[in-house]
Amino acid sequence: MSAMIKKENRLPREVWIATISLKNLWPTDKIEKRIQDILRRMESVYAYEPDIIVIPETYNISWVNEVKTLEEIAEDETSPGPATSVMAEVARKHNCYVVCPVITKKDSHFYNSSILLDRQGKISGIYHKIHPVDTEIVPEKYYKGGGVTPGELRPPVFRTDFGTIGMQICMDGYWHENWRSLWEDGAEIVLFPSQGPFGDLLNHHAWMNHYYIASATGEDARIIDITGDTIASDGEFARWVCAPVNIEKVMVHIWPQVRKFDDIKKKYGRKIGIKIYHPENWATLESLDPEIKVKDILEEFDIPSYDEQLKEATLIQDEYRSK
Amino acid sequence: MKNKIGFSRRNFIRQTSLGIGAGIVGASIPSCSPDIKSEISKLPREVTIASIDLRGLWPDTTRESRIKRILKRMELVTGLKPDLICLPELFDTMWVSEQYKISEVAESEKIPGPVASRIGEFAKKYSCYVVCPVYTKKGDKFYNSSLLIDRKGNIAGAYNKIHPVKSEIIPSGPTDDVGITPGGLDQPIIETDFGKVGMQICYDANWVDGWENCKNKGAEIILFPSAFPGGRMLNHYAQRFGCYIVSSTGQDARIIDMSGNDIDSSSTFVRYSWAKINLEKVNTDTWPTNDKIPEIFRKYGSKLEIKVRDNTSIITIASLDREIRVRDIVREFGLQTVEENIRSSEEAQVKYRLKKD
Repeated sequence: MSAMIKKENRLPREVWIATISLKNLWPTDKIEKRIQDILRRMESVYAYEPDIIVIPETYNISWVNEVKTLEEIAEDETSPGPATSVMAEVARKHNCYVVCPVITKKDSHFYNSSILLDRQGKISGIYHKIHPVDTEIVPEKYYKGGGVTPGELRPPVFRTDFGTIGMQICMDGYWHENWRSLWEDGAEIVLFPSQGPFGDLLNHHAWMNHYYIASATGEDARIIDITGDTIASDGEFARWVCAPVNIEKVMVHIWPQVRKFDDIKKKYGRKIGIKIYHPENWATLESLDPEIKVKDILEEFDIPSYDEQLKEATLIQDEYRSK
Repeated sequence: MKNKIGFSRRNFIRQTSLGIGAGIVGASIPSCSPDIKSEISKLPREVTIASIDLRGLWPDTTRESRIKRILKRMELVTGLKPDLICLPELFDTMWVSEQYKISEVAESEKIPGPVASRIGEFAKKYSCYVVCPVYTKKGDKFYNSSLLIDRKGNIAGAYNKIHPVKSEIIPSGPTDDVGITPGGLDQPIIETDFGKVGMQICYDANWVDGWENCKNKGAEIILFPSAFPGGRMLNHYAQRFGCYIVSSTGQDARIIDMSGNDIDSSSTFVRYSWAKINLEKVNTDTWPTNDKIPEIFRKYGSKLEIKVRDNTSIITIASLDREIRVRDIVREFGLQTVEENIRSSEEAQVKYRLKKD
């Protein structure tokens, strides 16, 4: 949990993410009770004025004993249904985005979805889980009737007023190509509502794709840095976290860039944060000044990003490789 | 007379490892050394690994000094009777002050050259495999390679670094009279008397393709000689591809479990790592394996080793009994390995995903 910083004092690309865990709220008997429990837990984060709040996968029905069919609980994708409406109200009241994971229905098909609500509480995007578990999909295996249709391959990205985001849900964690395509499409933060926590795998997706990840799961809630470091995680005394991430930050390969770090420090001092990851041979450069863009620093010192360096290396390797 | 233990061990490997997927291999299974008798108490698929780091040995004055110091460090682990010792990338030339030319020090990929011969003598003396990373030459091309020396001191196979750094490919330093050719993308894995191994070298860690290739061909252990340690990247590849990884670098030497967790690492005052690893082991998903653990315990007790790895959402199951194959346990209790779980869900996803017009 980080100390609160007034909105006007934040860096231009500083994004405050709040994420809520479902731990200790399951199992429960009624859908309504679950919704109220989650709303109560969300109250802890409002004082931080988060830009976005993430809640867990199918937050209103996961591990709820009340039996409903998919038809009964599926929400409309164009106008908010009951479980989405309460979150839309949160979004409006607290002027933040909310990632609201519910079952949705579209053209007679059901989806395990994540609805992105904007600061006005309007639906600004929907992600359909691409890789549901087989027991969610196959009708005869699904204990509440009906089946979930897997979403279209290649997940969409969504533009918000603080940056580009993507979403993945639970078992999607195992398919690396989705995570990679989100990076290709410019995602800067990926939100991950889930039942399972997926542990280190999320940290790996973060460093492999150099974006932040915020997870809200049945077991934990975490915010992960572009290097794979866990920035914040929930625990016994707070089943939620709220922390800032700075999108003005890039990952570079240490060699030969490290030779230039002293010059950057001499010129920019504390305005640029440099952190070295020795075992991995990485470093991050981060702008801590509202007037400085980190891309301008890379350009000034002729430093390629990690991906640019690897791209160039790949071209050279392919050119010289044994045929 | 054929060694009985060695024979049954090889048969076991044939029936398990070789039966799982058809990998491309570089050689047939070499005969086990008579020293295999010392393995009488070993599990059929238990492998003793040692890995040496280069820390404290660089910079070094001459190649000869480096080779001697590495051999001395290797001696420190021989008491373990290791099946395999891993050495760091280009261990004879890395950070050595002596001027040399790559074209002069490069060795053959097939017949042991001066350095590989000395490592081969060691391998033969202690009846172990050794990962011997040196420059090699094939035709008019030079490679940054890893030779796998077998228990008799012969070269069992070679791996040529797929992703050298730019400054290796395009000669830039005083010793670089020739450029290094990047190895072909589709390289073989190597079969040993304890299982299948793949290799990756240093900068390769920044690309997934080589690791994936090793896994697709059935590698159970991936060996990683390197200048840099690799850190969390290696843990990820171990978990993602369900392989053990052994690193031997300029900074550290690690042995990483197939669940992605470190088993052992070199340390400030001990510059090598070691572990007995069990290849009769699988990664399963936390759920539903967690529910089945008491039932498995009731039937098999301490004949199995079950470890719950919360940080990677994996439960590993290993057989500690010569007669039990871990995949039989997976079937018996209706479990799935992580890979099987992904595969079965993917089949349903493909079948039920809406087709685009």
